[in-house]
Amino acid sequence: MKSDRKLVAHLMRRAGFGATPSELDQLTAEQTYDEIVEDLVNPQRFHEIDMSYVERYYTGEPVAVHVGKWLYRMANTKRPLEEKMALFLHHIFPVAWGKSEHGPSLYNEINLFRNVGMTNFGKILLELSKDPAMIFWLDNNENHKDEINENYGRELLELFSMGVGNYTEDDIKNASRSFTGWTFRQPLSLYPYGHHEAVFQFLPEDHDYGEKEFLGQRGNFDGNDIIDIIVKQPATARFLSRHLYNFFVEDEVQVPSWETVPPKDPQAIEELSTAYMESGGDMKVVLKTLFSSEFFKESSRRPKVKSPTELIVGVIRQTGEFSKPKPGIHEFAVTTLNGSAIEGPLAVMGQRLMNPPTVEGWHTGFEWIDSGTLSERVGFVEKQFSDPNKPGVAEMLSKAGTLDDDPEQLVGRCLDLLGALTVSDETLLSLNTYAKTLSNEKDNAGVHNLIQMAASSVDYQFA
Amino acid sequence: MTRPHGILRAGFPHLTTLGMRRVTNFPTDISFGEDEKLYILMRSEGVATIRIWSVNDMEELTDELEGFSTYGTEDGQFIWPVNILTGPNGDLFVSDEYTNRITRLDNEGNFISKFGEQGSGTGQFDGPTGIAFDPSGNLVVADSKNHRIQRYTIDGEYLQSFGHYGNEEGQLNLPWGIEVDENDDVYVADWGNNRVHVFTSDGNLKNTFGSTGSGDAEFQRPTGISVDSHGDIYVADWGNNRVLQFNKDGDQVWSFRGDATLSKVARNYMLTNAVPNRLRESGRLEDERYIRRPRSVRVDEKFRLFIPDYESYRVQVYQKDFIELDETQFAAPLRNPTLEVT
Repeated sequence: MKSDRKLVAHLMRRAGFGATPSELDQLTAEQTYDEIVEDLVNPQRFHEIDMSYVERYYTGEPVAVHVGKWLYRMANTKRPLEEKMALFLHHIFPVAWGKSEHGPSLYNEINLFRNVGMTNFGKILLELSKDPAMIFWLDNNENHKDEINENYGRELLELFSMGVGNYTEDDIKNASRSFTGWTFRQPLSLYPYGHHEAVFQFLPEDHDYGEKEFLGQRGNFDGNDIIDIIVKQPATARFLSRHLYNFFVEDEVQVPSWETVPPKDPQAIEELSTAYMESGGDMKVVLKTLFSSEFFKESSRRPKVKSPTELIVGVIRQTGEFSKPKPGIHEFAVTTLNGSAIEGPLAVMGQRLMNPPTVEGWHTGFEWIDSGTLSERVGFVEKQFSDPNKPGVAEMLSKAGTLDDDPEQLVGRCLDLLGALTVSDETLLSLNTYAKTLSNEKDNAGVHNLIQMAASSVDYQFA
Repeated sequence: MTRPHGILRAGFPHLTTLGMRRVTNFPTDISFGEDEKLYILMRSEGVATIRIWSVNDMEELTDELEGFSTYGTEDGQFIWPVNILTGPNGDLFVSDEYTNRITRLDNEGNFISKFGEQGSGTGQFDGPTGIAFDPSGNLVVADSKNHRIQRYTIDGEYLQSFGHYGNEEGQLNLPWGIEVDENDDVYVADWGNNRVHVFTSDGNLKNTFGSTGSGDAEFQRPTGISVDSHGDIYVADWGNNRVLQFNKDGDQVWSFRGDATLSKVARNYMLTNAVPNRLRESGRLEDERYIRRPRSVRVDEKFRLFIPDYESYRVQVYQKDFIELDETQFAAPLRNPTLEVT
């Protein structure tokens, strides 16, 4: 073994959507932990998923189809951190389908996040500011030189970069003035021939070229200049670092409390912020710092509730049900496409991908959990693992083996097959108690029950 | 019918545009019935149905639409249908790459029969996509994920199989569209290898053309393929949003990128929709003409070319304009190019 199995499993759950038993075997046998991190932050080393093959099967207008394609991609990518960063950016720059109902813009925005997520934070903010979905969501298409709309300028500072308390109302006004004329060309109407893509457009005649003062600097700024100034602020480094910590390391309090509640691990935020400032906002450097840190390696012992997306994608990776295209992946978003929209498990668990509740995005951590969502989560996992013929479940059954007079060993193997899962003493006792009831003979049904029980545990709900 | 010695190509103008959103969504393929009737196969996630439409389009949008079949796995239903063909008695044959079967319906949509099941043995499919009739009335099927071509009687009795996975000459990678000409030559859109293979009836490679790219004679995932009675070959070039036309030797002649106009039904619909009309005036209207993600191309006996314009919910129709030539009107092929062109 070149690397520790539990640590690598932890890394792959956080930096991706979990590893299958075979993937864990290969990674730990062939690579050190540092080499695995190096691969994660260099996704170009691995083939991109062939989207022509995916779109050969998954087509349609409803946003659920776009969600389905993304779920398929998350479950099958060879570039897990790239895909996880797209999800991260969707969390912190949330745009909802519900306002525009323009599916192509939402889908293109996710593609944008995937393409820029591991570049530079300045580039990310610049591309975000030119993204038609975001422009429409925060009304920058209504931000004119003679009639400023401050919505985007405000959220850029408050929610997307620096956080409350680090700028003034005048900074918001001048940032907004700098983004006047940043709009998109009118896409054609849905009728009669379907959606067309929206494309960024800068209208010089609608841009305020006057002098502005922003964060203590003065000049004839435009949106590029504003972003250049923002990304150099220590406040931006700290704000982004706290977002990364919350998403990859440990559940934090919700964003509106960050102004008053200090980070759970100030030293970790300091390390990440330093990496950000010294690299000029290079996301690869910041991410490598994060995954190589001691605070990350130790974080498996800290609470990090899986988001509904992490839970569902992790499960379908392990069951292998969608390792190739098959109908129905959109049903995780809605269960029917024919007129009515019955909510699928993603929504019931509280996360409508591509349709977040507000500009603040989703509240995370233990706010994912209430009696209804917990019931849905446990029931979902139990159901997904119930079919022994799913390729991933069949592989687990094959590898789990038999009791051989050693129930604790059998339980250990089952937990390992679920991604080197660590469980509480209470869960372990329950699993061992059940395992003792099994026969020494090949008892697939019993072992299958054991795997389902472990997957249905509260412990499985943590990343 | 024998092919003419040559043809004088006079043009290939756009003839008409059919359908619109709500009535002809995601047209995957099309087949021809009597009296200018079209059967438009529509497929998207969760939806699979056949719309009966006319080459004369429809005067105005109505909820009283003709069509049949629904999404599902029961007899006569489809999940991922790919091709539709009109056969004897006007019966319809539909391939379904999820249920792994070929279904026969009468022209009112009543289920008649089916054949095929999941597998890689004889009589089995793994994702049947393209289907075509050979000159004897047998069905030739692109068995896509088995990377092979199979031939069956119209009643589903297995006759022949050839081809296997690879990217060498004669090998296939997820073939999609298929066509058989009057000489029983089999034309295959080799989707994964971005080329067309032409096989003799016994499965020997006769010709190949195309490569990966977006230039002349290049493809990004060729899907549908058709051959007219001149031997001209039409290939739907999915990723490049176009249809390419080749002569019988595989040399590119023409390309179709789309020239859509407002269909009759769309015209009447838009008359009562003020906001979309303003949006059209503000947007880049030229975008509306182009083909998007074609999955099929079909040519009828009148040399009309039908392109189901998949992501634009319509069918674009072109008319081949030509004069057939005899030996006195069409010189022998030149071995070398010449500058003596007067």
